[in-house]
This record gives sequence, C-alpha cells and structure tokens, in this order.
Amino acid sequence: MDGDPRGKACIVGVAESDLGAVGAGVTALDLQAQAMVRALDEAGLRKADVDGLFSASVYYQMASVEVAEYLGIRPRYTDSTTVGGCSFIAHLHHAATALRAGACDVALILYGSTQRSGGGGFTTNANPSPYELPYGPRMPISMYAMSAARHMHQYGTTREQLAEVAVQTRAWARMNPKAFMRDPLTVEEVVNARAISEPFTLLDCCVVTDGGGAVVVTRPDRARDLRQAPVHLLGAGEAHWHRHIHQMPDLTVSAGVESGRRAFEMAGLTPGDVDVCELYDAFTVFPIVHLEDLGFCGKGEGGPFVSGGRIGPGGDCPVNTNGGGMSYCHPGMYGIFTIIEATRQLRGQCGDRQIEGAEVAVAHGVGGVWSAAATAILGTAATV
Amino acid sequence: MADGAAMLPPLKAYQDALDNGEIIYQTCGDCERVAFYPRLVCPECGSTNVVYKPSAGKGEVYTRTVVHARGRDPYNVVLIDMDEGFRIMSTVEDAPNDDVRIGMRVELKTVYPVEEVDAKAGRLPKHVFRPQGDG
Ligand SMILES: [Zn+2]
Repeated sequence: MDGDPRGKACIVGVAESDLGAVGAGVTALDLQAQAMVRALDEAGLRKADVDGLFSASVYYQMASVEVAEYLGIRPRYTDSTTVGGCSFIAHLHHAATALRAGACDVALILYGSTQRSGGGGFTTNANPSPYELPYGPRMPISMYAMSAARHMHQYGTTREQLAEVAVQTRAWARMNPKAFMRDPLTVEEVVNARAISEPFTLLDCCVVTDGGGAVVVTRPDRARDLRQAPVHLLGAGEAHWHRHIHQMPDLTVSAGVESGRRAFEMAGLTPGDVDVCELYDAFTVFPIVHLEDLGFCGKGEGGPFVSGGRIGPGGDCPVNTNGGGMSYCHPGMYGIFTIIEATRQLRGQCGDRQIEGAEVAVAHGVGGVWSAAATAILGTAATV
Repeated sequence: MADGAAMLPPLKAYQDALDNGEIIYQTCGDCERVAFYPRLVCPECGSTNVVYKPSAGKGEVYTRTVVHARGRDPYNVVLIDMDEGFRIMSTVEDAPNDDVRIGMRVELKTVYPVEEVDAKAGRLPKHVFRPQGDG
C-alpha cells in the first residue's frame, strides 16, 4: 500500500536495563534511562539525536512525557499509545510511519517497570469491568485460563501440551545468561505445580521481574553509517476487537489474526519465510494461540504443533529464544523484549541460542485479555 | 431509543434491573443485533434505537475456571452464553466446582445485594447461577 513503511525504517539499537530483581528504591524511570544509554551507545547515536519518543507504562499515564522530562528530551513527535503489553510493537509501527513521513528522524521506544522490587504487588492499569469484577476473576490470569479451558474443550488441546510450552521455553532460557529462571523443567513439574486458576498452575504463568528496554529506530540512509547492522522493518500490523473477556466472541481467536495478516501482507511474506518467532508469552496458552493466529498452523492445531520439541532448541519453529516471559523476564508489559531478541537474532548476536542464518523474524504480542494485538516482521538487509 | 429512555444511563439500568432480580440486555431496533452490556448505541450499526429486554435467565456454560486464592475456598468463574444470544460472566453455585463444566445448562439463582462499591466500577450487585433444574 502507498505509504507503507516497509523497508523505510531500521532498528539500529536495542538494549535491556538491568533485569530480574533490581532492588528497592530503583524506579521505572531509572530503568528506562539505563536502557536508553545502552541502546544509543550500541547504535553510535547521542541523546541529542532523538526527536521521536514512544513509551507506555502502568506507572505513568503520560508515559512519554514523564520519561522525556527525566531524560531531558524534547521530542517533536511523541506517542504514549497504551494498548497493553504489546504497546511497544505498536510503537514500532507508529515510529516507522512517522519516520517515513519525516515527522521525526531518530525514534526511541522505551519501557521500564519495577514490578518485582517496587512493592505493592502486581501493578496494572486495567479498568475493571462492572460486569466482571463481582465474580472475582484474577486479572488477567483467570481470563487466559478460561481461554485455555475453551481451547482444550474445542480442539482437544491437552494439559501436557500447555506444559510443553513452559518446558521448551525454559530450555531456551538455559542458554540465556540474562534469564531469570534457568533450572531444568519437566512437563510433570508444570502439571503438578500449585493450581492458580484452572487449568493453569503456577508454572503456566510468567515470571514476575523488574526490567526495562529501549529500541532505537531510524531511516535506512541514516542507519548505514551506524555501528550495528541495521534490522529492517518489513511489515507491521495492529488490531483490537474488545477490551473485556466476556466481549470476546471466540476465546480461542485473538485480534492477532488481523494484525498478523496485515504485517505479513505488508512484508510480502508468509509464515513459511520466518526463521525465528518472538511471541508475547504471559501464560502457556499464548504461543499456541499466537502460532495459530499468525498462520504457522491451523486454528486448533497449536497443541500438537508445539509438542515434540518443535518450538524449543533444535526444533524447526524456534519460539522465544531468549526464554520468553515464561523464564527470561516479564515486568508486566513484555512486548519490547520481543523486538530486542528478534533484532539480536537477525544480527547473529545470540551466542549459544543463535538460530543459524536467521534472515526473517516475527515479533508479535497482545495486550489486555487477548484484547489488542500488534505484529512486526523484521529482516536483514538481504530481505528488503 | 424510545422517548426519554435514551436518558436512562445503561449501567444504572442494568444495576436497577439486577436489584429487582433481573438481568437485562438490549436488541437493536434497526439491525436486530443482540447486545450486552447495555449501551447508548448499537455496537453493530451505531443506531441509538436500542431496546432493553429482560432475560429469561437461562443459558449454557461457555467456559470456566476455578480460582485458587490464599485464605478462601476455591471458587468458580464462568462465562455463560445466555439463550437470548449474549454472554455474561458469573458464578455457578449449588454444584461442586469440578462439576461446573463447559456445556452445562444453568439458570439464574438469585442476585446478591450490593456488597462493595468499587472506586472505578461503581456499585456491584452480583447475579449467581445454579445448574438448571428439570422443566
Ligand atoms: Zn444495530
């Protein structure tokens, strides 16, 4: 489509802040500052070069404004779009569109959260629905548990297949020195862990960590002179269909169907062209539904698809090579980490967990309760 | 919407109906789309010609979970597909959690009076269901 940002924007810097448990007193803004410094440094850019700023947060309603003040950035293009945990993938789409339009020259996407160390427990910006709150669902675990229960009922997905996701993701985490959980994990351990919201046990749920991230995006002409091999945005898409779970027509089909279709169409690619997938995972059912929604397998086939080691190390459809939200890092809004790992895979910087010759990666996520979805297809220079 | 009815705030209409032991939903006078929760506009066609209707209170469990929380007994949370064609969240009583299954027929048991007022969500009367009896 005319105006599509395909091939018009490159990721030139990515970084995490300190991850895991950063200790009391550290703020979500501190983590964003750390991540920014590291990402600009690896790109070979300075803070003064940044003129587009993108952020989302459960701590700060005016997310980009808040962090801009701290960092001393006065952007000419600003975006605090908040569509849940996938916001940062949506930001990448917005940044590419703004870059293509000339509305900014260097875009910086930022995230930080001290969910583990900050005290006060799980922080959320969810507005509870008066039509759901009285029934006591645990937000968002119970909503995704009901999705998993429906997936099992509708397609015969098994408890063990859900557990497979946690086990294979852990196997990736064991190769990532930054991962929060690196002990071996078995299907039996997942199935027999303490029940949280049936069918989920504790080990169907992501880790709760601190962490932040930064992504620097610019146009290809500018990227050419920078330090890192540019990673190109080939396609991007967004969609949202509902906010609250009782409004979701089919609890096994997310708006990712639409964001994914838009992203692949823009890229001119199909799932068969993808070498590595970084898919937002907060609960074990996520990658199963994502792989179906994006077209890696048919609807309802996700359970068998993820089994037998297919998404783990050595499998033919590698998913969440960093160890994902399940084992590596999940500060509440995981989306930015899908972009960071996809970028590193395409640069060949992932060490033991590197997918040999990776040329095309997908970074995909949802926000809310299967509410919003955003997809980005990334590629090396050879794919543009 | 009929004369004057448009000024009845939909959330208040829902809560008032619950206080009277009834679940209400809407149909669109223009496109006939069934809608829940009540709104000022039809979420299908955008018409304001929406009509409140009382539900017969019967439906089928679409999906379910059992929440295990510290300090209280496990409890079920369900989504119910009501016979009139809308979906709600509720809880099924008078049955062990393990027996509350997808596909189970259920009926409105009662409405508990307002126990809490949430800062964001407002007054929270609560309907509960039970397994549907014979007839
Ligand atoms: Zn209508």
